[in-house]
Amino acid sequence: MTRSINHPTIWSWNRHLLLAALLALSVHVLAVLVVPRLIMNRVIDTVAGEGARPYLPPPIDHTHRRVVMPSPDLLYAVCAYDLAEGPLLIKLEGRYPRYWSIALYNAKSDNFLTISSDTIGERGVDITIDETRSTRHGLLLMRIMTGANPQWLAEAEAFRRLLRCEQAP
Amino acid sequence: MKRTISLALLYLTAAAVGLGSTWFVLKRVGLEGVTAGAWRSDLLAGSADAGPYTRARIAVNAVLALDRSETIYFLATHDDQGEPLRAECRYRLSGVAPNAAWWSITAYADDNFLFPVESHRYSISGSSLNVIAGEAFSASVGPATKEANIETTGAGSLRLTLRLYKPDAVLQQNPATLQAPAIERAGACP
Repeated sequence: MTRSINHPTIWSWNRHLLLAALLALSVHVLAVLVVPRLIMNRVIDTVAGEGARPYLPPPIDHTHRRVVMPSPDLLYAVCAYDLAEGPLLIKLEGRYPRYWSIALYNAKSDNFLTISSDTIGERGVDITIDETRSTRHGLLLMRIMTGANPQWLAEAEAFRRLLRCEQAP
Repeated sequence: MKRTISLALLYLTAAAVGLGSTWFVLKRVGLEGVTAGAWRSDLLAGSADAGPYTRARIAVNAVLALDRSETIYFLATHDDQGEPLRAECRYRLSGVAPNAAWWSITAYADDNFLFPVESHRYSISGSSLNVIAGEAFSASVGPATKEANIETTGAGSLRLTLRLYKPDAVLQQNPATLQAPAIERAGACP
């Protein structure tokens, strides 16, 4: 009689323990998969301005707490885009005599395109990003080397103001 | 009722274990990849080929990394003797300027942000030390003194990141060939 009462209870606890282990594993896997998107969404929300217009953060110092591991030797420009509003047109005319790059990241945090000072040469930048190249939401990050040198910083500031991120409906 | 509460606790604990193990793996387990001296690099940083764990680790610890063809990142959390880097200790960095269009070494606190130092001495680079590729360099990292090229503050973990922008073809193909900057403790720790 005792066995017939206890047995289902013991079986039930084993089952719950197994389900709990599966839950722990599922939560772990799901979190690993979701974390990059959550972090990118947060970054995009942080820098999103009106439309895709560039956000020009101040030079990096210790008060910068938006994105981990910022480089104090670079000046940044950021465009957050939503391709539902149309393809992203990226334009940059002008020269900067030191290293610079423009990197594009999709919503999974993958760096799917990078152009830089040595690959672009004397030509300006004129490229279009549509949904065949990126997820709907994404981010453009321009890095300009300043080496924390005040004169280079002034030149970099003028250069980043030439960046255009526009969306044609 | 007691059984319902026990089951609820069991499943809550399971969910917490799932989240906790994720945090541990992403924050505490080192990056895979290649090593050079005390430095370690994950070659898939920023790449679309990165697996889910690499992608999540990079997102947590260094979101918006560049692809290896553009930049190689090396991270050091220990000195050459294998001792954890500490913000309250002084270190000497020395070596040969790497073969890259531009490079820098930056100090970060345990939270991956810059140390709050008013001197703004957060990093060194080829331009700040006025050395070109192949030339020897040395620098000091530690609490504020006149000779500290990179200043730290407080106590706790210290992380150094070496960035190589446009590394030469040899380094791009095999980052382990980097002549890694030495990280040696200078003097006793408080």
